[in-house]
Amino acid sequence: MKQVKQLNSKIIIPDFLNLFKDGFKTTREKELLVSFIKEHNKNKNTFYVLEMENKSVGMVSLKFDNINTNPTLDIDYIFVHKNYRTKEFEILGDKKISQFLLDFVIKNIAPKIKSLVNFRYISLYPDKQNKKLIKYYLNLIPNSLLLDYKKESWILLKI
Amino acid sequence: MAFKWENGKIKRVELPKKLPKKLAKKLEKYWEETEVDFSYLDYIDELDIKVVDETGKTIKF
Repeated sequence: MKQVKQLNSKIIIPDFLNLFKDGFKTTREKELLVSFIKEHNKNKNTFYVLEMENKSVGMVSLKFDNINTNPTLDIDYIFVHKNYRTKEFEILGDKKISQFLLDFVIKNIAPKIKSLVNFRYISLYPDKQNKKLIKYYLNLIPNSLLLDYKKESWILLKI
Repeated sequence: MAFKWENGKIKRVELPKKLPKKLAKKLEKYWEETEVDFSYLDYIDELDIKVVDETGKTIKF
């Protein structure tokens, strides 16, 4: 059994962290997630949590932003429980969870939002600006654009 | 990931709100000239993924 749960209302931080108990590789990951929960509780983003066999295995946080006055849907955060990273899952079409979450946003969520409120791009800021990760995302998202500005690299996809 | 770690602190990273002309042109050119093919995502239709809200109610996509 697999499903994606949309979370819009207030989240109790310890309860949410408990969903991913033992799923953090570093303290940094946990602290970053807390930052996103705090923003979530100020209605700045929406979480989509992937559940497999009644277990939360990954999540993506989305928010609106803009670049040069062009509205974007920003993939604010992708997190995968450490025990589920790097593995491909048959029930996800033989994709890794991070790839599935990214594809799910592009295929399902973005068009749904665009049908209600127009926007131009999906944006993504690769964590730690890691060159390998940037290359990985560019590979995962065909026809995307790498935009470098003031030592920051963004990946944009026309929607 | 729109946060970064700087001097031991978490710092929010914002998309550039005002791009220099050259980059703005690059972005506009990408918008006008790129044909994006989403057919590689068709596999998702076959997965039968249920999307629900906090109450468990199905959200249709």
